[in-house]
Amino acid sequence: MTVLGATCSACGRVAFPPRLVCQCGEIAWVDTVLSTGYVDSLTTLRADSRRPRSSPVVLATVRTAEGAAVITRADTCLEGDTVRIDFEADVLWARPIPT
Amino acid sequence: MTRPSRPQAVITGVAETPYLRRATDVTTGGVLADAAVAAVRDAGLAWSDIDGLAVSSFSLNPDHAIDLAWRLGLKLTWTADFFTGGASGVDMVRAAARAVDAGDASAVLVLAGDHFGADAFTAMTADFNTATRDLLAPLPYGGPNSLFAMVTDRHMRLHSLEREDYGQVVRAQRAWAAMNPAATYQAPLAVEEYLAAPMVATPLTHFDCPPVVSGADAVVVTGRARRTRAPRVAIRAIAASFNSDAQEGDGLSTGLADIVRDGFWNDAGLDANDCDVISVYDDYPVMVLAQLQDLGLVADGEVAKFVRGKLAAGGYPLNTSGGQLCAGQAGAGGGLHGLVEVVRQLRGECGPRQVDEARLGLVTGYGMVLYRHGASATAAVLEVQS
Repeated sequence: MTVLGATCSACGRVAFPPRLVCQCGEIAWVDTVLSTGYVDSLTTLRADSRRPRSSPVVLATVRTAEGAAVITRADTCLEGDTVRIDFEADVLWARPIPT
Repeated sequence: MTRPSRPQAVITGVAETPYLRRATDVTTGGVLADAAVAAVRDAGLAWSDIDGLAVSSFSLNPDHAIDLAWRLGLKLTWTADFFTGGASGVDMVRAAARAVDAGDASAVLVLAGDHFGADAFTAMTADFNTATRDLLAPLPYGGPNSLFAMVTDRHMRLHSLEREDYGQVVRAQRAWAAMNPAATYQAPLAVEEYLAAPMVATPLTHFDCPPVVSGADAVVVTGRARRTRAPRVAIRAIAASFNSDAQEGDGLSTGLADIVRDGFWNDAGLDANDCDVISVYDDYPVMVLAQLQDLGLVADGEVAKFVRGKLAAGGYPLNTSGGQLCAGQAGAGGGLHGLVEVVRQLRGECGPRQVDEARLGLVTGYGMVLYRHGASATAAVLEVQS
């Protein structure tokens, strides 16, 4: 499932998650598909009190081509990777785009 | 915008309950009440003198300030709830001082604290706000540790720091905590022990994350004319910034940068390095360093030099209670913890960790992670009155 951000119809700012009103004061937004970006930073979550005996989870901050910052699962990614992002069963994933 | 006037109201009482790890026999209302009574006694006031109440607590729900006022037996002319996380302590003191200056109240009790039961803290982090519930919890994200791990990752690369450098922040605070019998962690922390600690979210270890405790802090704000038990502490400057980067930046510049740019040090009539004691909100070591940069206490490009020089040398009067990283994080109480410590330092009440001739103190608040990093920042310069 695609990741939907929003582009302000007045100033062009792209927001994720979508906001109610843009910083410029505009309330009209245009749905914008966010599909690619690069991995800005990564972490491997090893201790999670909600899942005490679970496997590590890799998370990333992905900076999309449109400039929005999105936090995703990124189990197969490295820092700096160009990635594709999408939703799978309510979880936002980033996966490297083969070069 | 017109510059706000310097508050005339003063801080006349402070208190902190014991910070308890894995407590099962306390309640949120109970720790708030303990802190409240102790602060009013510290101020030398009668309970009936209190006519204002500000509260910040994540676990007071479903109650609010007005419910707490009822349970505390307080009859009020001013009350407010604050939900600005780690910035709420200074934020509440600012509002309380304005309320006293305006005549809406004459003695305001400022309270912050929490008790999280066995699963309450993790439940809160999964349902913290809409963005967290819908976008982060399904990942799963494990609470704010993973978010600040990524902030730390960016900070490390930007400033060419090593894990040991963040460990130095923790170790410097641990040295102060060794002189604070109320701190959760008091034993000295060797660099080897820091590096070998269990990894929580790379590059953050167990020691980079504040221990969650149950407890509360309280402050009493009154007019200057009140007779008080202890020296009054005046507010030379106080300011706040919310949603400064709309969660779109790198998280390494906080709202404190806006506060400073808008004239904070000019309001205080001071330079950044004039304060004798400093409490910077320390939910993670990286945010201590980021805030010191925003405040002008660490120059651009000199983070490594500061950590490996001034901080490593020992004795730098930063987070002298041990901070939350060593004393513990009592939920919203963390937003008042540093302020209570600075007031005690300015009053000369800190025993073996007392900073000599402390007259001016700096306090910051930071927090309320909306999606990627904190959205709230506050700062105050306090000065003891002779």
